Amino acid sequence: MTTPVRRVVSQFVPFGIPEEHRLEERRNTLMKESAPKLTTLRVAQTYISSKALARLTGSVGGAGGTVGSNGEEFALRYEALLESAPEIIKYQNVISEKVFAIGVVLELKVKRFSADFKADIYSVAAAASLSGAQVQFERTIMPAAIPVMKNVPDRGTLTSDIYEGLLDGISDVFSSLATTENLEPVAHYRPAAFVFTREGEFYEAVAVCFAASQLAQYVKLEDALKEARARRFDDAVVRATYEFFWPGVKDDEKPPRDARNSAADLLGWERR
Amino acid sequence: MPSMSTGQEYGWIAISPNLTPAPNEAFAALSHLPRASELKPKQLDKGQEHFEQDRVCESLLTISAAARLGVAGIVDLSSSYHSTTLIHDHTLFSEVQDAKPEGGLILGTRWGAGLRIKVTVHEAQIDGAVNMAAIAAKASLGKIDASFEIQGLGFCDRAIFQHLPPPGKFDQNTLRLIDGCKKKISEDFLKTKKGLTPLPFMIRVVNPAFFDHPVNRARSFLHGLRGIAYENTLSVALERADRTIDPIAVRSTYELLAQEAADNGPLSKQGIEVARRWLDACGIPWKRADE
Repeated sequence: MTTPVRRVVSQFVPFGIPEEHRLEERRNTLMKESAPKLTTLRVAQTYISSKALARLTGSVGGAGGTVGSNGEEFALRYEALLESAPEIIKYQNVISEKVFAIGVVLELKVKRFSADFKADIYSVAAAASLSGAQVQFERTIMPAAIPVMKNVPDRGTLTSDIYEGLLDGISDVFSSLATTENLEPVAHYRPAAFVFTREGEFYEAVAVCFAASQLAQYVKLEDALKEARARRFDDAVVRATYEFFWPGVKDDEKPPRDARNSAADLLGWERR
Repeated sequence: MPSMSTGQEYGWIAISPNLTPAPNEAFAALSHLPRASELKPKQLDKGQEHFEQDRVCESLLTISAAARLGVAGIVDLSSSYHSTTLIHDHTLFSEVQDAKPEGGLILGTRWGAGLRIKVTVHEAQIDGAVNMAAIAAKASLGKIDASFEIQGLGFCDRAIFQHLPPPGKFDQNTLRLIDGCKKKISEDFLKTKKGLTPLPFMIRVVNPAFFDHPVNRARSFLHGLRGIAYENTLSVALERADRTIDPIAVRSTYELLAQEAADNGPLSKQGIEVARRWLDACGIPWKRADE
């Protein structure tokens, strides 16, 4: 049976959804498409770090998430969907999934000015009301025809009042979705993962080996990081490797013998 | 009551059940690995019943390993060495195993349906007991950042919406709602086995080093680099690997740098030089085979 399918077209800065797909959505808004069977329940509240956000938004040519004097940017995404098996789409370094779904998606882009609150939707809503964060939100209901949440805007700046309205509204949406027959699933794209490559794994591994070799030669972390940059190794991996062998690592101190010997073990070198 | 696995069972690990399109139908999450088109779920034996076992299985993974298995989501690996994902699968399943690994990796597959709950703790060490209750308790106290995901494996019913946790945070209240959701699914689907579609949600791998911490797993890439630098064929390098070495990483290194033909075929001269330069760059000494 062919079911008419509405497509979601978002004005919100997407989290890594290739612009080509958005254009395709716009072109095909009226296109009829056979909707696959809904087979999966998915409820997720996910945190997208500033670095991950930078990679996502960079992949579509937009401004990346940044950490600096103007605050740290990150994203939070809540989804409660019944969906079809995903179609996997690789675009540059991002794997996206296209599913047909009914349900709710809430996306938040957060600029955090204070490190005193946690990266979850409850906490950022509270922080927004205390000027600890600027939070932009967009909510999507699929299908849009569900007659609820008329008092809450689709997108805008999150305040504590809007957060309360969203919680009430989403509860109403759940009731409506649970009881309404013949809902039309909507085509929905979401970023699912970064492309995992052999090259990426290899570069990560050699950066670990470099760090282990530095540590096994009693090189201070600050000096190892300088050398890593000169040799184009990922300095975040170098730091993480030092922390792995030396919890509580001090950048400007020589590594202790135990940490040195553990790193030497990794390389198959003699203990000292 | 389902039985509970104690910790991570030897070699069994959660994986995304998404497969590449027919007719190949290999695990999509493993498409970056050597012999990817052979990395398929094993099919149940002829006549084997579905949903023979009622078990809770847990997998505790570093973010890096979770990303390799398609169960991590959007994460930045280099900043996530201290992030951990706990995967709690409450499922009915049947499993199949044999001694012939698919693509040199997959010894067994669990086909099942039920509920997968993933909790990821970001940028924090988890001390003490690692389970959802402990994580929820710490998150409730504001000690850690935690994301969560609930995935229905192989069933779908709109009535579940009324039992789902709303947006907020992963804490003890969310855990209570998740427990309610589990109970509802257990009563409505798992007990009756109605409307369930079995999916390949866990695999048993040849060598658990495959999902080791990235720092430990780097040894396996180093083993490959040294093997190439010493001009050993892939077959020899694999023969000389002990159980802590992941053969997939060794093969990846060979294919990436130097392997031109079969496992015991010659290495490219350029690849040998590249491997030696990498070892030099890492500050790791090596000797030529003729020295």
